[in-house]
Amino acid sequence: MEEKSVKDLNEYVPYSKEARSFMSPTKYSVFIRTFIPWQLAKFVYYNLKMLFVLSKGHGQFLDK
Amino acid sequence: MASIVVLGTGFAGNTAALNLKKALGGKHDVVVVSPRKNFSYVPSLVWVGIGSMQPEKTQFNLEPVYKKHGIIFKEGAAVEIHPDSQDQYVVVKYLDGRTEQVKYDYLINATGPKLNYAATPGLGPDAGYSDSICTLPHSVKTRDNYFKALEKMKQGKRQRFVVGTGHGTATCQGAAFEYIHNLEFDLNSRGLRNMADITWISNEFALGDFGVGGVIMKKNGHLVSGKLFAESTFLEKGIKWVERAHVRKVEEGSLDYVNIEGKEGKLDFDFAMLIPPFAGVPIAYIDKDGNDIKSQLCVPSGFMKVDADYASAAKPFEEWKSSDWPKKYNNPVYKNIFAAGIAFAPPHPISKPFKAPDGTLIVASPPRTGMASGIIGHTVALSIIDMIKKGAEEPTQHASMTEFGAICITSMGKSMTRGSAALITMDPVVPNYEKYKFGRNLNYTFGDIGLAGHWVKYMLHYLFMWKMKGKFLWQFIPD
Repeated sequence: MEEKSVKDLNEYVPYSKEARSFMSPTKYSVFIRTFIPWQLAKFVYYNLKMLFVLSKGHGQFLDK
Repeated sequence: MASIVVLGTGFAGNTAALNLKKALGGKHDVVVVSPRKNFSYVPSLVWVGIGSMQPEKTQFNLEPVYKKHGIIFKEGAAVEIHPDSQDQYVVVKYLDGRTEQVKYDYLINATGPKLNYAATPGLGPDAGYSDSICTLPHSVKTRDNYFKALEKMKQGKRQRFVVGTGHGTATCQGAAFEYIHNLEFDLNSRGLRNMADITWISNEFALGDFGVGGVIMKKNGHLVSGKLFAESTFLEKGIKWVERAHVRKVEEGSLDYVNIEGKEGKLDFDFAMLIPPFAGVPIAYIDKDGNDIKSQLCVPSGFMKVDADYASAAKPFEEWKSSDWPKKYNNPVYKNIFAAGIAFAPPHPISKPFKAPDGTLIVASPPRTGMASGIIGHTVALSIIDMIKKGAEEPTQHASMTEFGAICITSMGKSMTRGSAALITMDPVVPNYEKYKFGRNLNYTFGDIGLAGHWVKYMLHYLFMWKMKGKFLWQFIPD
């Protein structure tokens, strides 16, 4: 295994011997991550999502 | 009157003690034993280690909390457990050297881990050359060393940062992942990013493993591997990485490692934050004849045996099952002794283990985060309450890590307007391939990165500090 570096983009060239799956955020994705109106909506969504996970996890106590 | 002794004041121990006392009232004694009287909110120590949170905001004194709730607190270390019937007690050693025998009817071992820096020569802040964020004093020392590196950068000296795990079987990759991103974020905020080389080193088979075998999640109409997300964050921020590595030794300014293919490497650094492997807190277990019976109660690493299938560890990864994992967390021989949080011995790792050609085991050990520890501590408390109040002979409640889910919030920068965090929910914590094709329920397993994640992490800091202080309506805050 070699140490991988962002400078060595050859790893991500399709069809190359060392081609790897690759994902990197676009400028839009980076922008939206700190775009406050969108993040406020996400905050509400995250809390609802967490409540679902919590309620499911804590249901174990009741299921004897 | 029954006496329940709780060893430890972390998420598992404190959750158990508060719930026990609330349900049992003054009719029974709840005794907490710990060498530390402060509760430490470990998830925020990453911010202390980067200097973005004051240490005192992560701590509070438990003595007034326990006094208010009627819980007896003994500030000392449990050094011996005598589990035989008619003679069940814990030997507590106080800071002044005195010892006391504390009798129990039910015992909860929630001591957390011993930080096993000695496993890697040169690892750790006390006798080695690396820093850590596992305890508050270590986080403060890490912060001070980071500030020294900042000063050097301001003077034009380029600095090399290495962050990750310091042993082939370490856990808590998530904490190191948080630290490396907060480090990068802070350097960026200070305009010093171009003066730093940042490298990640980990025993994970791939980035995003986090000791839970990685995560497959739904994203934009696709099923996506968490590995891609984790890698994308490093690619975006110009962080190099080394994976599948066991750190063999740490010296002043460098570390040596070997990977699962047997290739050896060396990383030079000016600053290194490396998470150590964990072991069980050293406690002697002694029967009524004075014999050492630790092997009956603990696995070789010192964690306590509970109702897990430990024979499954000898089986290949492909044959591991959800039923290997404990449900009720009591010891099979001494059924009134429970272990909660990090103190219980998992039957085997969650991630697939690998060995280097020289036999060195390289696998990310199972994490037991605050949420999992809290749920287990609560479950054990409810079982003991049923055993006392209803006369149940066996624990009545169960919470297997293959049944309940967890929420992991990985800070990637502390700022209310520019910060971010990766919010990951997974259900269940341990993949259950017998039940789900991809190991987890994809309706409850997701991940996202953004500012809202940071708000959630910040909110949970204060929410859980409130709960752990046992303040008004604490019982309605989930574990």
